Amino acid sequence: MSQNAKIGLGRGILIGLTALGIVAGIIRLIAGLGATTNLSDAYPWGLWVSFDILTGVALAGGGFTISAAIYVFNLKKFEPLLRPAKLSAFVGYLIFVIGLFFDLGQPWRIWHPMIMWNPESVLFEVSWCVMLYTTVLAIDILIMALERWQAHSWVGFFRNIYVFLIVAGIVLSTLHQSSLGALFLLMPEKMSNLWASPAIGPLFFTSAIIGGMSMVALESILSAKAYGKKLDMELISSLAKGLGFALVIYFAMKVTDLYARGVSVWSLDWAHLLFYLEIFGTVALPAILLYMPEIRQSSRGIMWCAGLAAFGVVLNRFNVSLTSYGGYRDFWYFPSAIEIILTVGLVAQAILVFDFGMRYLPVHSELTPHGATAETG
Amino acid sequence: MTNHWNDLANSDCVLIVGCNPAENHPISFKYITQVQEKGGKLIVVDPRFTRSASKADLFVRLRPGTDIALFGGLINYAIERGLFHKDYVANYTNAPFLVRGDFAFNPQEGVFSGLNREKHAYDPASWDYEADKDGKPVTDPTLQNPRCVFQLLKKQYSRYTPEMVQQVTGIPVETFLKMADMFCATGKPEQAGTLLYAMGGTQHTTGVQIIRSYTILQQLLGNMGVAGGGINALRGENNVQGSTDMALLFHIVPGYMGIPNEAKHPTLKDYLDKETPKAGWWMNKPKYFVSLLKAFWGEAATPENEFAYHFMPKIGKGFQGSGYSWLPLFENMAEGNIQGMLVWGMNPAVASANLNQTYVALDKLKWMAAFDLWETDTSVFWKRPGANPKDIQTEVFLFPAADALEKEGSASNSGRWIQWRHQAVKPHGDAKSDLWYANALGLELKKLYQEDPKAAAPEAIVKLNWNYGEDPDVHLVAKEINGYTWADKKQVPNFVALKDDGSTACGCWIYSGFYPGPDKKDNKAAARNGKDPSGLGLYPGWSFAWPVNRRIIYNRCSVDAQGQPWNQKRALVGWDANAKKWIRNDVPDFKWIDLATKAEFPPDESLKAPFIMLPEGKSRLFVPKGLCKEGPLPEHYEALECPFVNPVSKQQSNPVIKIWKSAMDKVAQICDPRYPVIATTFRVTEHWQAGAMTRNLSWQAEMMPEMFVEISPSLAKAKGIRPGEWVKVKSARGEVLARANVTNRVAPFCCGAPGFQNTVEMVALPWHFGFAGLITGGPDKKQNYAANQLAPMVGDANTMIPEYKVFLVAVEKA
Amino acid sequence: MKAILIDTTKCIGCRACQVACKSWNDLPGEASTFSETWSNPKYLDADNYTRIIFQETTSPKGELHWNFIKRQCNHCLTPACASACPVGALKKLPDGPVVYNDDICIGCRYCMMACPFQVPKFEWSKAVPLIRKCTFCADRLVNNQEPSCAASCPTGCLVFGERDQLLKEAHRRIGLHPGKYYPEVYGEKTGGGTCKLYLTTASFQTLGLDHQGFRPDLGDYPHGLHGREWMAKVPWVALTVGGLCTGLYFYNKRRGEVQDHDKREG
Ligand SMILES: Nc1nc2c(c(=O)[nH]1)N[C@H]1C(S)=C(S)[C@@H](COP(=O)(O)OP(=O)(O)OC[C@H]3O[C@@H](n4cnc5c(=O)[nH]c(N)nc54)[C@H](O)[C@@H]3O)O[C@H]1N2
Ligand SMILES: Nc1nc2c(c(=O)[nH]1)N[C@H]1C(S)=C(S)[C@@H](COP(=O)(O)OP(=O)(O)OC[C@H]3O[C@@H](n4cnc5c(=O)[nH]c(N)nc54)[C@H](O)[C@@H]3O)O[C@H]1N2
Ligand code: SF4
Ligand code: SF4
Ligand code: SF4
Ligand code: SF4
Ligand code: SF4
Ligand SMILES: [Mo]
Repeated sequence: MSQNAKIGLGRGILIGLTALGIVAGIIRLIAGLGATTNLSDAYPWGLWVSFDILTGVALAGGGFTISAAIYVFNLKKFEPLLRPAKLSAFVGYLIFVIGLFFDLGQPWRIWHPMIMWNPESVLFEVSWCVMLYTTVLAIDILIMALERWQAHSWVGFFRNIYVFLIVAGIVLSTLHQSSLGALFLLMPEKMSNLWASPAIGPLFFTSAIIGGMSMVALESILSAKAYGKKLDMELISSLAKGLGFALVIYFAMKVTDLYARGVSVWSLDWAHLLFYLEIFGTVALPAILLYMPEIRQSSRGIMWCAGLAAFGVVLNRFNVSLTSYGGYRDFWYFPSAIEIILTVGLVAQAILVFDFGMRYLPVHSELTPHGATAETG
Repeated sequence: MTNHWNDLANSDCVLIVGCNPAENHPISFKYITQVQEKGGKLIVVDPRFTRSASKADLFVRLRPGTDIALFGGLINYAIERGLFHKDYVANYTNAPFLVRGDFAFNPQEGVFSGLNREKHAYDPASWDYEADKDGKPVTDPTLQNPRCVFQLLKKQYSRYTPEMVQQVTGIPVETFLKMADMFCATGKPEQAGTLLYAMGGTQHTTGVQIIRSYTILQQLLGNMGVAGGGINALRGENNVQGSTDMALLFHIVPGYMGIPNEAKHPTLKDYLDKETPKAGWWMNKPKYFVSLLKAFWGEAATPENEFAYHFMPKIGKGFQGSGYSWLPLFENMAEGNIQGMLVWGMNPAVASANLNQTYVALDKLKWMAAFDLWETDTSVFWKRPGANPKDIQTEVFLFPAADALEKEGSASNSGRWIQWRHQAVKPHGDAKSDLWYANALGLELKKLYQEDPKAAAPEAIVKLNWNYGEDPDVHLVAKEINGYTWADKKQVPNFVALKDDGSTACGCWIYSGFYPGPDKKDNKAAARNGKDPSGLGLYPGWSFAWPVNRRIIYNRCSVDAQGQPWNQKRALVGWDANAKKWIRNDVPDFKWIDLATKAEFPPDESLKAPFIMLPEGKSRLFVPKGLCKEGPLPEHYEALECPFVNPVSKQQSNPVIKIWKSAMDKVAQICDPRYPVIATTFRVTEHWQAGAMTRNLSWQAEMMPEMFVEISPSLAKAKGIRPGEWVKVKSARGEVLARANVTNRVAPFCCGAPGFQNTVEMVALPWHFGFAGLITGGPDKKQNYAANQLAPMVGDANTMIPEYKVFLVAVEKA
Repeated sequence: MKAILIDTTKCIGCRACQVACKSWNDLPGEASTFSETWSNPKYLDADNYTRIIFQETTSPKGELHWNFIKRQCNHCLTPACASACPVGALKKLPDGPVVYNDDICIGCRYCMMACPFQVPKFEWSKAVPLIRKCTFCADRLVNNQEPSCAASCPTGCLVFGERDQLLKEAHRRIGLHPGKYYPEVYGEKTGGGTCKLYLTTASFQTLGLDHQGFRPDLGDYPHGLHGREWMAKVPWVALTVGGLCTGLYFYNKRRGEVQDHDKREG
């Protein structure tokens, strides 16, 4: 089967899944949460919060990570990755926003936090940051679109406020990425103390960077395959290097945290096993692997490591919000069909949007805000 | 109640026996809790660990039906250890009275002199005081004469040693001694102990004697007539007190006067001569009885026609003697001797014993009229599980009744307080008050008898003094109950003003004084003065307590011979020797004032008769003249269905109970191998009685949704029964499905004479469930979840109350 | 600050309070099934703001005990639920009640996650559900009426009054009957203190009702403060990060231009 045919088939499936997701969403809205999900008073939060909201955002951390690398740490070589990263970040937040909409008991009140304020509430801050940051990302996408339509005067305008967009992006991300963790500061006694930590904010932040980098790495490799572009190996492996570095830092942070709180780490219960898988399988292991040059040089190697790391982030978010959350539960929770279908639909939709962007937006033009290269023309 | 609810707080030791007030009279714990706060003690005696027991300082688990043995033991203990209140016993009880020489009790046979085994009855002639030449009882103030009541009592209960108590009741000796010390401590003059009882004491073939054993102990300990003491029956139905006061019973007319008997009392003269004692307050009976006749037949009641005495229905026609009580009524109904029935505020299809027989009885009715708030299991008896409506010809009428909040009127509580209730809301739909229905029925009957020339003995109805209006005015009824002068229709101040010459009419003499004036403001039942001058919770200005607003009866006994309170802190009355006056916190229950001269009598006057209602003037440790059918002193007999041989005597069960012989009256043998488990029935807070009132309310239903049976872990293990699963409980008469409530609140009993010892399991079933209403007791609409399918149709010899509290069953997995 | 003292040693498990609560709050009865312990309904939910927990225990000495323990919202002094709510639908009123505003709640259920006593419940059966929990009968308090449950309690197990006075009373009772009471008031400090104060025969540790809303491990730290503290840091983080980024951005930009310029020159 030819490359394009494959892609065509892939898109077909994705569209199908998205359609299913939409149907599930409609059912959810009509029948209500109780009827369509396995959520209960014992499990007020389930798959949608753990995956769509917490994970979605964490994996979308690439946007601000790369732009920070470029504009703050002056690592210009990463510029080619910026736009793909932004695009993927945007779809990540799309998942968040749509997921949240369906998860709320009163979806049409999703805007309430804008005018009804509770400055004490971590969730209030998260809502605002996400709202603003999504707007920023939207603008970034808009810029690409404008370029494509040759709307130069507009592009110019945005270039002038670009610095603002970048800084805002980084600040907002720093805040809400860590605040998503801080949500759980309120319920220490309900979580396994392997995760219930006062440092959960910074930990979330760091793992969001890991999530972001690994996703960018994965995307570049996969899209290069998909759209038959040649992969800038040197660039990717230096990204991988960064990822490895982030993983080491995260591991160190985690160890210090556990040590400082004197948590008993060795045990064979459910929570501990998940913890080992997370910390050794998806943090230590990829870190070690990436340390080896031959792996760092091979796109397969990087793909595996990034994959592991990304999975690690997912696992972490589930452990914090679901599997290790021990409220007063005399029941067991497993997401309902609707919950799963809707989530799958969201992911499919996200990939479609990403794919669309990759194909129709100037994601690879060497735009820099300095205008230096833009003299061409 | 000799005392009243608020008075519980005055007690030093509360003895809850045969009742479960935490669940069935929750408000009582408002006062019991206060006792415990003040360091007082709470003892609970029950076969089951109840919500009351959960609050007890001492819980005593006794085998159901063995209270007499326990109290026999306590009486023995109090006498042997000299813990009883000596002056009290000597002065206020009949302890010093000598008993006739031919009176005897046979400890081996366990029966008294005069038993006729064929007739299942005693000739009580010998059960009487020894009288001197002019008929006065002979007494021995030293209590030494072997034939004085005290010595007989001592002899009778010397057999009830702690060991014997254990053999019969299953109460370990040490627990018994703990209880004995705790409660007998109230024998000290300044101490007061109260005793609360209800159905756990009464629903036995020995019910009356069980209660008697309670009262004997209370008399010995000097707990009668004092604040914080007394023997307190926790009445059941809202206003069941009022209904008994008004004689909703087969053997009396209003005011606790015996119903005339066809054979014994053909004329009023016969009745009054035979039924009026020579001494005591009841000497006034003619005034009360004639005033009642006057209230019934008004103008038609004249001296010439013995105040229409011939209209008064008499026992004798129809079913003999106790024939009009519950059990015989249903026996006769089952034999087709009863045509129709007014089911007025009751639900016998769930509440009656041996239901399968009850249903057969109901099937025989030509018609039934049910007055109720709901469609009850009884009004749909014809479509009960297992019945085919086609085979049942009974015509059923259902009349919607207004409930307590929808009508005005009085309700009398256990403390004899007549409390007026105002109408909160108008009756819903076309519901009408019970008074309205009764009045309509009365008027209609008068009309029918009037019009029908062939009517038999119409006058009794036609001439009834019945004018409360088309839409009856409840105040007119109340005023008639209080009594009034016939000539000028003036309300009488109280029963002292009643006459036996037809010049006064009174519906119920004991209530006389609660509505002494013509206006609504004179209605003392509606008085709501919250002041408590004495600080003893007497609240004299709150409603009206019969008689004459006396809150604690027999209160002469709250002071010593000289009229000085046993305990100054709890002085109900007291003699002020200097002022020659009585201090009166409560209305004196003795001869204290000369109504003519208004001079107050010194204590020695009332010392002669501290119990004014009784001819001998003293309380009865020994009940003379066969007023209790099984004997003058309570003796332990086993329940009719029992897994143990009576360890006390050869007499297994009550020798004078009537046992019906119909095909449906099946009973298990003694120690019947087919039914090896004791069963008892009980109530829960969450449900009311036969359930119509609570099984139809979702708020109540959700708390106690399904029929269950309390089973001990050991029985569950033996039968392989898992907690919560459905089990089948079977008796000789029927079976019922229930969820297994496996709990340590019930436990097996190890009883029996040495050598014959045996451990027997007990299960307990709530009896609130049935087959009609919002919830029935289980998921299966084709099931009848009523516990009374199991209970036997056998009753106490005096009251005929069924033995709901002990019978034999088998338990198996459903 | 108003409160209710719940002296469980005085509770006879009559459940008048449970019914009174339903009656005042107009809550439907549920179709239930038999409960082994007799507690019914078996959980708090949107239709049950309070319930009596029946607990049968046997002491080491073999004595049987039957505890009746009322459960409902404890109306914390610094409520985690209120501090969690992103739109401020839950509020602590000065006189005690923690009340809920139907009209602004978005249904995120963060309050349910946050409450240390597992109290707020969700109307799962409805298409557009809201949060439900004991209101402390705030709508009665405003009319100087005591809460429906307290008003209906026959034994004085539930006493409504000023919190500080009730605490005094609680400690008076402990002092009076040292043997009878566990010498601590659950709710005096628990989770930063609550407006429902419990007197018990044994500690909640021994009663072991962790999974029924009475955790012994909550400590005294006000759960409502965790969020507040984090939010206090937020502005500073924002400023620092923002400042650094902007600074470095322009620094880098300048460098970049300089380099370009040199190139041109050279
Ligand atoms: N919630 C509620 N309250 C009620 C009622 C109701 O249906 N529901 N009914 C009302 C009515 S009409 C009545 S008459 C009263 C009845 O009030 P109670 O007499 O308190 O009611 P019961 O539960 O039938 O019996 C009380 C206790 O007697 C115990 N018992 C059984 N056999 C024996 C025995 O041989 N000796 C002793 N000492 N105890 C024994 C039982 O285990 C039970 O716990 O309650 C009234 N109050
Ligand atoms: N196994 C077992 N059986 C028992 C007992 C036991 O302990 N164990 N207890 C016995 C005792 S003590 C009693 S008192 C009986 C009770 O037996 P019942 O009196 O037959 O039972 P209740 O349910 O009290 O019936 C009262 C009815 O009156 C209705 N009602 C309420 N208010 C009004 C009103 O204002 N007007 C009218 N017209 N109707 C009204 C109610 O809806 C209800 O249906 O049960 C007896 N049965
Ligand atoms: S009659 Fe009413 S108030 Fe009295 S105890 Fe029963 S339920 Fe409570
Ligand atoms: S108990 Fe829970 S719901 Fe109630 S105030 Fe405290 S935190 Fe809020
Ligand atoms: S569910 Fe409603 S009340 Fe609870 S936190 Fe969310 S918005 Fe606030
Ligand atoms: S305070 Fe009001 S809402 Fe809360 S439990 Fe009591 S009655 Fe129910
Ligand atoms: S009303 Fe009072 S005594 Fe009854 S269950 Fe509730 S708290 Fe306990
Ligand atoms: Mo009764």
